[in-house]
Amino acid sequence: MQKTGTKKLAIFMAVIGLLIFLHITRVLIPVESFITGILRPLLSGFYSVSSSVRATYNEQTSKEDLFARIKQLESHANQLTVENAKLKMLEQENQILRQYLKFSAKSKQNYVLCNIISRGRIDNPVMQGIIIDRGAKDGLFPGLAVVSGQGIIIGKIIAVKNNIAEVYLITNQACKLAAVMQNQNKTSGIIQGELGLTVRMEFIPQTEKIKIGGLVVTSGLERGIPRGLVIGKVNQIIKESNELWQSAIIEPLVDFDELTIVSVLLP
Amino acid sequence: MYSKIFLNIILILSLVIIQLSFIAGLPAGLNYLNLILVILIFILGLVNLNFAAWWTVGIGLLLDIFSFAPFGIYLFCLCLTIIIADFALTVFFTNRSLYSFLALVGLTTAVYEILLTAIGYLVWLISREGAGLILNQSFWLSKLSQMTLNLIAALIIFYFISFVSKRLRPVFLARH
Repeated sequence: MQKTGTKKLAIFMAVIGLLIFLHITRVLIPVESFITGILRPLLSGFYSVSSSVRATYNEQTSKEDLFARIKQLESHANQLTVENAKLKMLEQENQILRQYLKFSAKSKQNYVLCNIISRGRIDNPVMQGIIIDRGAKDGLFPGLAVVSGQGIIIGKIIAVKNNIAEVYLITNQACKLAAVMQNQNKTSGIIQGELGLTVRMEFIPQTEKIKIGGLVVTSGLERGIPRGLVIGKVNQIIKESNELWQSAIIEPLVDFDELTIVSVLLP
Repeated sequence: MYSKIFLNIILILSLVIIQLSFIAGLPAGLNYLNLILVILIFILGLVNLNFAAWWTVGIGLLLDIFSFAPFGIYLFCLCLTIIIADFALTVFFTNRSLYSFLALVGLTTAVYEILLTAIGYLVWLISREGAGLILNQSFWLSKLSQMTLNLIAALIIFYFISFVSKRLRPVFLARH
């Protein structure tokens, strides 16, 4: 009886060892690619269903704040309309100036549209990350910026396989980005996720003047991440006289729970 | 024979898809549920180690394919957990009662989580890539939620199986 049990155990371990060996020797890679490729649409479909369940739940729980939010958004929309009109004028002016200076029109950023197929990790659901249905075969590689439909940066690619890629959201503690504030001095710093909820901008010199509500964008100092992608707004400033640096809590402008489709910006 | 193998492959794929895409995206902490582990324990309790082992290998392989952790982590952790569960089932929880299943699910959840966290931390110590182990409040809350949800899932599955089949109903010997 015990002999049979040991034999079974040995077979069990041999199968696992063989699978790991086949993966290391890359014999299993075509099978893995085939499986990920064939299951991608199904995973994406199930994620959409799950995402709509989450959206309905969030909608129900946030109904109380809805009216206050509508008023806030209305005033924000008015501000944006004014800002938009100004920007349109500037754009026209810019186009004319470019023609004058014979600047070649800057080509639009190349991007790859991706479906989210999973969130977090089964071993660590707290981990603020997503898995997308595009990978090395589509030209993706670690370090590329991932943006939402509105062009707001949501994270960056950390690892890729042939057909899938892992993205760390900007709220992930392991995700760091070079950022700059849109103030007079163009204050630069490094943003890092905090507790999976917010983002903290560190290494801001004490002498820099920063304002609550100020916009924070990517600085473009990192390879693969273009300059000017919106990260969020300053929500809180942490300044202590005995510290060398000050820091700011940045509120992301995207609700990560509602994302189902994202874009990866190609260099 | 082949149709049975095919059916099992389909069921394994469905379970992995549900865990990775559907459960992972659920709100209100429901994403902490590890349905795979609960189902494996029921397979082990209701069928045998042989059958549960093949399911474990299939599921572990799929999880490793879709995971960005070093290949083999899920295979190894799931297999070791199932072996420990089988030992507990033959030595301690010999009857197939609700309490046995709940205790077994609780035990295996703890074992599986400890194994995954420990191996994940070891990998991080070597590679220093990604986020290391952060033992903050949300970590412990997530583990507690997972344990609770797994036990609730085990309870529901137990009553469901008792309702549709006679395998888990108590047997009384009548004296004639």
